[in-house]
Amino acid sequence: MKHFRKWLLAGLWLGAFPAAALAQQYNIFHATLENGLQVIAIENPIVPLATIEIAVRNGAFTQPPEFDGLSHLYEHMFFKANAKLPDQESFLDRVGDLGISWNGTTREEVVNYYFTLPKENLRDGLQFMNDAIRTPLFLEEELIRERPVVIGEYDRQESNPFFHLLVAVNKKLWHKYYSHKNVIGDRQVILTADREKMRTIQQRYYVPNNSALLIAGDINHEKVFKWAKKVFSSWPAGEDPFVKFPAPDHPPLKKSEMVIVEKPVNAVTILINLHGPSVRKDPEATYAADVFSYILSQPNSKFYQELIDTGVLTGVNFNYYTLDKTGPINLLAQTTADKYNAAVQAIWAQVQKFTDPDYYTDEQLANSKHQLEINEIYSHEKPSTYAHVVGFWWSVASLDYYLSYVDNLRKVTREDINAYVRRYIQNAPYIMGVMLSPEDRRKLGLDEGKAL
Amino acid sequence: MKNYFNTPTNMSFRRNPFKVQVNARHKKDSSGMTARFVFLALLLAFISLARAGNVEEFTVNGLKVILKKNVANEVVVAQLYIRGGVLNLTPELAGIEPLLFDAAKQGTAQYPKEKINAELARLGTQIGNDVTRDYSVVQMRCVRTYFDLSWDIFSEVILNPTLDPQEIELSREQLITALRQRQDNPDSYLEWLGETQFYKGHPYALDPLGTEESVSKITIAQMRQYLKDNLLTSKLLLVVVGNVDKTELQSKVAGALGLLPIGNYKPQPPRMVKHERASVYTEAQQLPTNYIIGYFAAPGLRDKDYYAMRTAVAVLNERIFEEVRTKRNLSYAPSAELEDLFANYGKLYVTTVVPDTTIKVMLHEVRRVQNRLLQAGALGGRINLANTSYYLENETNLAQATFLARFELAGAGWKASEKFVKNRTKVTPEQITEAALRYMNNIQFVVIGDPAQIDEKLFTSQ
Repeated sequence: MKHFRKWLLAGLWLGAFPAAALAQQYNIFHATLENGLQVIAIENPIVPLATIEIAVRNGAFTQPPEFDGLSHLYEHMFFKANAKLPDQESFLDRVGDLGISWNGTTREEVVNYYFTLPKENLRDGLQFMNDAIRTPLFLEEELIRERPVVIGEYDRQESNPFFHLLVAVNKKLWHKYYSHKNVIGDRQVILTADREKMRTIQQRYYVPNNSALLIAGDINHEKVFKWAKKVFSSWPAGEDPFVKFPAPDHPPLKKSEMVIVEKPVNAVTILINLHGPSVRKDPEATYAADVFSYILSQPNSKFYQELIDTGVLTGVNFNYYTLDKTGPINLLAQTTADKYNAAVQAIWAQVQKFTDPDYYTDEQLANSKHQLEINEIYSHEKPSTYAHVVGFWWSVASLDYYLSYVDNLRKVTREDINAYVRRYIQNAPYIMGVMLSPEDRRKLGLDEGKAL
Repeated sequence: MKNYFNTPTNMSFRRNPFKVQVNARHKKDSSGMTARFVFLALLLAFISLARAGNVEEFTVNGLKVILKKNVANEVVVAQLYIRGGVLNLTPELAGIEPLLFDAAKQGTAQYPKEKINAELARLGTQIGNDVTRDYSVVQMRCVRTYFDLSWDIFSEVILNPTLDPQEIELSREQLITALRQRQDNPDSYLEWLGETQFYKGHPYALDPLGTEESVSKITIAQMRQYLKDNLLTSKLLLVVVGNVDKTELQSKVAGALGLLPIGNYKPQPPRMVKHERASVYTEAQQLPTNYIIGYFAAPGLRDKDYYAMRTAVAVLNERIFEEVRTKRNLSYAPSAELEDLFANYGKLYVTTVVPDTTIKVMLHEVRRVQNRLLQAGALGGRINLANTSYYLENETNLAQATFLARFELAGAGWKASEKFVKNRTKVTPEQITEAALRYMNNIQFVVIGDPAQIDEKLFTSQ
């Protein structure tokens, strides 16, 4: 049971190792430094590379309105000057020296930074990561120059009509604390961001006890733990940011609403969003949600047969997105204007049948669980992106949640699914967004007030 | 996946259809068949990608099979390629392959619709199809435990599809919706417009996904004829990557795909595209930014300049990032890329609110790559990065299968893929500038955005 062995290095490690099949199967090793930094090593020698990632519990959920979009701007500033490298040009030179492929992402409840490099450069890469995460300078001139780059990213999102549908629905869905779900942020907040705000984010969230270091690829976990301790142990722990600055819980929707987005598009898109479970408050419902989503996605499901095989929709996707601060449930569907009314009726007819005893078979329930298990195998095939998957779950839920995920899926029953559906879908208010061309809207006479 | 549904972003993260994330760098989807090949290595020049397995080839009744045994994971991938791509088509038949193979997955003689769906769900096996201008492919991914059953379904889909008229109509409607929707996203529309302009007058002008008109008229009889004309073992290539033994695979192929007629197919590689002058085509749209792409003809995998050109484009990409984004902050997403088509191209790409200023900088960087020799240190750094990219893009069995296939289909032979690192490492600074001078010219630009902001003379001043 090497995977669950406590890591003992002169008492410096406080590691706890969740006993889960997934950790054994995928060679996942875990330890905790004294300063609280979680270290997760994933051995997969398929190619001679190593991926170093730092995941931080930061992102949109930590953003009050005056910080709307600044988790993302901060992420951009990570790749600039730090105490060891005077500017971004030097940063990129070092990237070339070490053969690093790099990027970072900001989501609702995690920000991550990752380098993939030849395994021989792993130690140097760890030091490079340490300098970047701990000692960013936030030079005024670099900050001013990076704002238009981030706004350029914003412009690209705004050029995509789907973005407008998503924003319109989300503003109603997260009506009280929209900035806490708004990853891309607010233009004005981004354009006026200063160094002080960057320092505030750093001091609050960029502390080892709010971060995880993930190393995946052609590595040896024992060496990785040793090197990580050497490089990162001097990073001083900070206060738990969520004690002093708790991220708000999103209040439930009071009523169902509809929003219409007119864009010059060639199909009619329907997006129905609801408040789903919060993973730390109701983890059991998240397993039921995932199994149920997979049941619906099977081509043999009644959902698929009634909506796709009848031709009423040309595409449909039903999902629950796991988050701590209320994960959304969304149904995304596509149709044509002439089938719109029939499509909406058919969708709601299906929703009402979700809890019927014959809505899915026992075999479909079993297959769904099995498919989720096999997806884990496919996911593990690519170590560089698998690090992001594990980092995401560490931040949003916990490593333990992820490592016991498959075991918990197996336990999901029909009753669990019905409880999830009744609580979060059938008896819950929703936001329905429709995106269509002005011509199609006129043709349908669609009105936000009357359409529900 | 009987679902052409275009979501706003891809679904790479489980359970999040919208993938609400933003990145430090613009990343294009490089999964599956469209994987870009940004390669190579100095540091690890003598470590073959096949470190986790061995590659061998054999023939069954004229069907060439490439098997890469990979014991490092539980995944098995099988890909059946039909050579010829759009050269197999007429304008009336454009789009026949996606329509045909999508419908084929909906049921076979041995596996009617309910049964095939139930089996695939039970096994967790995925069967998909893709088309490019170079080839079409039907592919299967499964876990090793279910390889036997999965192979059976995979070969049935290819050999004995039912082609139920009702299923074909559903597939047709979905494909037509997808074709219409291509215009809804500026990035996908830009690429479509760019390729259309670049291949004008060339056999590759045909779009393998077809047009609304062609897709709406394709008949079942034409589909059956397509299968008869193209399922010839001399025209096919099978690639398998996973923990599979040669004898096991030989036996499976002999009992299924190897029973197809041999035929007498002789590959006819398409000619390289040639443009006599630069051009710019602007499509007016009110968007928050301008989308710009510029295509130039480039050598393909079997050409002698290929490796030098790949390095030249990689150097250009880095310099553009540094000059356009890092130093001048003109764009979030500037890049230069080299594709891997048989009639190949490289491209410049950027989104910006200051198009003239940005294109001026990008063209200046093109001239720098053409006229200034790369220093030895800079070349070494570039090769380090290329090495990482190469391995990064070949982590999965699917990617490795595609990598082998592209060399083989291009006429270079799959064994050339094993010399890829070595060939890239041998490129000299002089070869890089020569390749840049020879190919980075007569750029065919397409812009979606504000025509008033575009100085055509500047764009065509190369």
